[in-house]
Amino acid sequence: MADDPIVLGESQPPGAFTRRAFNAGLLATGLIARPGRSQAQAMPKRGGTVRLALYQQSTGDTFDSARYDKGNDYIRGTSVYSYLTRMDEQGRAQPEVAESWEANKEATRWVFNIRKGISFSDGSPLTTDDIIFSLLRHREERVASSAKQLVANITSVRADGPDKIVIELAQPDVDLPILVGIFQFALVKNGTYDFSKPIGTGAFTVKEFQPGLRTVLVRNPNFWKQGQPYIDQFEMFPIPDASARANALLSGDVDMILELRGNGIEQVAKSDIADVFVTPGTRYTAIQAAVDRAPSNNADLTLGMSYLIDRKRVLDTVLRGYGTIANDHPIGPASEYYNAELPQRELDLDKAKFHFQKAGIGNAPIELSMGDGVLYSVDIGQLMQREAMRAGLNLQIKREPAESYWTAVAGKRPFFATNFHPRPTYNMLLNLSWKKGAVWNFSHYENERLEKLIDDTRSEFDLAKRKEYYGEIQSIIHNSGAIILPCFLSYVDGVSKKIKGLTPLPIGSLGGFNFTDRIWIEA
Amino acid sequence: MANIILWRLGATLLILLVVSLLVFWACEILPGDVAQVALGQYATPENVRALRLEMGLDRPAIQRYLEWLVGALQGDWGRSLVTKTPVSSLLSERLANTALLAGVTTLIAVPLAVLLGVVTTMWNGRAFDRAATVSFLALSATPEFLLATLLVLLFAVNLGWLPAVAYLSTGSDFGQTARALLLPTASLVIVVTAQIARMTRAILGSILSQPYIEMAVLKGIPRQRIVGYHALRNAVGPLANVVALNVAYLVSGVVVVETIFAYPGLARLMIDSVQSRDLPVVQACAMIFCATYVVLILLADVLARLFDPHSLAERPTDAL
Amino acid sequence: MTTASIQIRPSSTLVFSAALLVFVGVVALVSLVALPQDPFDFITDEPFMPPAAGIWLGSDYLGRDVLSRLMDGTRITLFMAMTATLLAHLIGDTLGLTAAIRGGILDAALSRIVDVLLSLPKIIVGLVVVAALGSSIWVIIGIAAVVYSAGVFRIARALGTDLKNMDYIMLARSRGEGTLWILFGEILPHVIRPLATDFALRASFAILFMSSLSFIGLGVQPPLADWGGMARENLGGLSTNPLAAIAPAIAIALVSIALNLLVDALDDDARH
Repeated sequence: MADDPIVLGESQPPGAFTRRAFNAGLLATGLIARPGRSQAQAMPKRGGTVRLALYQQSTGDTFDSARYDKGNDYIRGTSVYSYLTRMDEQGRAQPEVAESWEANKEATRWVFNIRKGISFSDGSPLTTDDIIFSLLRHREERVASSAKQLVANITSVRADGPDKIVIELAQPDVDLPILVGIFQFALVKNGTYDFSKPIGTGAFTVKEFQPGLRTVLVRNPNFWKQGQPYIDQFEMFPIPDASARANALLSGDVDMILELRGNGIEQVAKSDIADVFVTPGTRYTAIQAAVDRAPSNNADLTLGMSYLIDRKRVLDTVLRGYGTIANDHPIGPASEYYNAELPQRELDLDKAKFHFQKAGIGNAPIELSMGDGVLYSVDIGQLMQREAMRAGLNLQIKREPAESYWTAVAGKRPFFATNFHPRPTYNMLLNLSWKKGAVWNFSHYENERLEKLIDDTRSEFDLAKRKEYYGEIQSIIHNSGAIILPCFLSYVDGVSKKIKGLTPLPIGSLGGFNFTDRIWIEA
Repeated sequence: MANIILWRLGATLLILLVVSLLVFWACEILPGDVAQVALGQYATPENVRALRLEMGLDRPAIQRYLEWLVGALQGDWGRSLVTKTPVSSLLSERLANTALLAGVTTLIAVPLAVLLGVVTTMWNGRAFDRAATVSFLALSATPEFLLATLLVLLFAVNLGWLPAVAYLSTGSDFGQTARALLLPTASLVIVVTAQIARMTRAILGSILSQPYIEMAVLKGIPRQRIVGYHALRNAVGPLANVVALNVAYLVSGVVVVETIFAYPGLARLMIDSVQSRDLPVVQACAMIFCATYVVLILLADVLARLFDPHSLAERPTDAL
Repeated sequence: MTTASIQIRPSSTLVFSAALLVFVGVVALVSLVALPQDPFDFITDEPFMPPAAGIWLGSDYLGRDVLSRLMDGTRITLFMAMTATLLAHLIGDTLGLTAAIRGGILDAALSRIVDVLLSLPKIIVGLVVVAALGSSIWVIIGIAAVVYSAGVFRIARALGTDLKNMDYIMLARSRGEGTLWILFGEILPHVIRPLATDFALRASFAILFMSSLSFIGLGVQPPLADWGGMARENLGGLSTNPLAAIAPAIAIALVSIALNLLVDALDDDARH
């Protein structure tokens, strides 16, 4: 099915990638092809309200960018805050608040030139102090930040005059301009720790914010991008039920929805009111093993389980073809770093039995903790459980309550599901999820060699060497017995035909969660 | 009568106190406290400790409960631990939404259901009665999410007549509100009407088999009059009880409909708050639900006593 | 349901509903030994495949046979609903009738505890208990039994209160019979019929309650599914194979109708 053309709507959304044309991968090295169809160069129209239905309902919605962990927050963040840079479709950093930048030869010292005349929504000007704070607050003890690992390489950030920021690094990083543009590094006012009344320099200001209920944003008349945003108002609210969400789009009650599922995809594709907006990428749902506890510290057990997944079936049945098959590591097959020499793991009951024999697991029950909070995990778990029955493994699915999943289950149970958005560079992803002590290293996997390789990929300029390092990284993770990563999941969203100006960016839904300042309504 | 009401109101306070203790205790023993859940994937021992300190969770449980209690007695529901906003402002919109949905549904469903119950009883044994009885049973046995989704598919997606979601922007006018409410109200009206109609039918049936009614039949009073007047009058007590339980359900139990129609009501708020372990909000919801229930039952009992001094108030009819 | 009309032969309703329940019971037993397909196996790559020869109700969201899962679910659904309702009645009837006979502090205390239970939304109670104990068939049965026992208590207590002052009870009391004897020997026979009516009704509510639990993700652990859970997990397929969600709902409705009509019909027959 992966090679069949996918029937989308009659007219695809402007610039939607077809699955075949593009299946995601490394973003930082310019691998992303331009979409096959060029977007009609229409003049954006001003005005109107756009309503977006979210799929996660959480009273934990926040404007504190350090704590962002879901699309809801990312979209709110890119609308209300500005960033130093923004990643484009080619995976390159484009100027935003930073007009230009240069590095020294070793890529350890970077100078960013800051655009003049930008002010916050409360009228005060954006200063270098604000920018320094916005980057360095992630190191503070009192700030619970997911970006701690990402700022670990920064030794200092200081101002050089009113319009220049100098960032010094411990180790070289050629991708720093991309790094400073990620969601967590929203530009906030110096000394802000309470984000209940967010003040930013973005395209919108907050009219109403009720966590878990609704966010209403209105045009920021003083936005520094001339003429933008095009829409007057942007509203977002959750419709947690997947069919209800698709139905709301089909009935025209909302203009955009996150996460179409199952039959909803075909229904939207067939409708004359909305289109399916597909963004292939390397987002994944994986089964991870906590390697610091029994029985999941038994690598043979995990390796055996990795042969119990019919990946093609996961792709066809669960993902409805919207994804790519993966090989138990997070590097996508479209990446130039992809290690093609690593044999593809497939459903193989004999190999599974061989590993189970070696693991000496016998008939002991093995619990697989899944959760509705982890996309498709309950489905993937059921496919695996079925094959486990055939291979003689006593695998039992345990569906865990969504709310305490990330505190009480992920990393705390032997086998559990996790999911992860792609990051602008694989180096960032690996730093966040495979480094010792990283908050998202749920397997608690520690490997000196892997740590060194991850650091080396950042500081190595030579592409051939980088490939070699990434190749070894893939082999280590593939054989780690810490992760079973069957498929990469495309982002499949729904967008009304009225909405124009949206281009996919493979780090998230709807243009990488960053679109509100560019879209417009075509009546 | 006044004494009974006073006594019952006193008991209500006791029940509220017990419920608040129970809720507090339940939130204490659930895995993951509000700080851990709020930090989620980012929880480290240090920042959890810091956040607990910030939320005032470092103090002993008893002290926190008593502080909450003293505040609540003075009408101060405290602040949400998660959103930091006062609970009262968090509740006000949801409370209004819930009251609206429950109110409109009750106003439509109760007269309709009683009428259907009376008519089916009058036509006892005829085709209409049998068909209606089976329909009531079938509808009250259909999962709400299926009923609601089918209504949405038909009226919102295929016919395009009505909105698929009952999400209301702030400042929606009457027309928008009414349209948005149609489908969720319809779903609930179907469920509740089927329930109450069936109960009305059962209650009237059992009253009709009482000796004094049989006497009336022998006296030659027309059946319509017996069912519609004598029996119905005696059915008010038990019926009030059924209606009270259904209304209590409409206030506190309509999670499914609120979820499918993205309608921000109290039931969903309580679920979300339990999930985020936001104790002050959970407490406030529990108090509202509990008070609603107790007061509704009290009203039903008062009605029952007014209409029937022998008190047939509690009948086998309160399953929900 | 009682009626004033006179019926002489065993009503067709009685025959119909009894036959239906027997059939469902047989399906539940048969599902233990033989099913058309393996209910956990993926028989097709096509999720929500419309019905075809041999796959009479089509496939579900993972490409499994809906008919086989429906049959397998019969056993789980009936077992859970019946066990929960039986437990609820065991607890509720005993305590309710005892409270009615004994009165006093015991009655007041039990009644207030029941008020507390009834005043909290059932689904919230379910959510909290599952969060604390995890979800398993027995936890769900336990939750349903406890929340429904409160309602049963109220009814049993009301029925008991009505009877308490009847002559034969007074007589038994004056003979110095113990509470338990009065309860089972004297009162129970007189209240068994309304309690049976309640049982039928409550059993169908228990099935629905479990479906609401699966709606918020707290149902039976996959790959098992009760009928309500099946309706929930296949809700997304209404456009291509509506049967996947509707067939289990019809099953719930049929069992509920049959149970209630049977009790009503028995009641009628007993009366005339």
